[in-house]
Amino acid sequence: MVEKGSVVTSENKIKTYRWFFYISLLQLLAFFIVPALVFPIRLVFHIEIISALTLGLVVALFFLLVNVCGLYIDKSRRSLYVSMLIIIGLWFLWAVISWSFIEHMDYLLR
Amino acid sequence: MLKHHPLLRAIAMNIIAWILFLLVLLALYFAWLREYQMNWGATAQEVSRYMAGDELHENPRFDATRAVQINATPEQIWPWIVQMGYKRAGFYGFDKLDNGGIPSAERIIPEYQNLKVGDSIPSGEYTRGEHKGELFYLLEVVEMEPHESMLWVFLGTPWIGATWSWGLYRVDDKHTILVSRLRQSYTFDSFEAIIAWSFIDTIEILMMRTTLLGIKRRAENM
Repeated sequence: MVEKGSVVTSENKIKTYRWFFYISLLQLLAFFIVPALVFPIRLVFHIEIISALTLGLVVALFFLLVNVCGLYIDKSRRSLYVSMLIIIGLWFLWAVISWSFIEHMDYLLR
Repeated sequence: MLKHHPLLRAIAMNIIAWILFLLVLLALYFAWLREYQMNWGATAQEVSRYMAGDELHENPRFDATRAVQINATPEQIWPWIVQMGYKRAGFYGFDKLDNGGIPSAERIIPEYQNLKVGDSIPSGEYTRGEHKGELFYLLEVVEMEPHESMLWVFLGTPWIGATWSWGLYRVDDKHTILVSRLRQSYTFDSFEAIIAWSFIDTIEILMMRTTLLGIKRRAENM
């Protein structure tokens, strides 16, 4: 038999986690929205790409860990967290390939 | 109670998680990654070997020696280095950021081959103010041994006084080791300096590695 108190605690935990997820997602999005507002239009695309390959990657790593926590804390939305993990995984793969062969990545350099 | 509200708890959780996350990253950076990136591609011998300008910074906080082996002779690599500069041949890096959007040269440019000691190398251009559109010069050639070594010294902040030394070491008839050494004795004496050097310390490798690999690709495709 489940006690009432433990159900409330669990619900609170999930609610708190979901807010945590949204805040982290917002931070990740802000990392790309802010440069778009600050830098000249001719540079924005390039800044965003460099950002995605450097500091953005750090914010993405944080968000990845948040999603890993979600797999255990908020099991009812596992498919969402798995989707996010796949997207960030692909992002990391792109970053690794880009840095490994940077001298041939004309779209990054020019 | 306000402190039990899920949003406030999530904000607190976010702050604590970021602090822990950054501490772990910093620990990893200083325990392993910094030394690796500061000596990317270089052997212990290349790191400890004297290079032009070392005497200008005896105990630098920033001491980065990077090397790349190139399938070319020093004579084939040298022209690519001396023609570097903003709106000259570029820096073979991120052209939108460091060459005004002009693609770095894919050929040797004869008119930029006469670089000599005392010359300044254009590094960018003013984008505002009374000097808008004019070039500024952040690098000065201080020493040069053609096809062997060259020393550039930085003239502007935050790099002012830093040395950028180039060395070409012949391995055999067809292979050369290109070494780049950056040294600076910076201080954390202002908030701006802390921010600037925190970014430079961690991110400069990405620019330098791109430049070295850019030179390698061009010299090998000649």
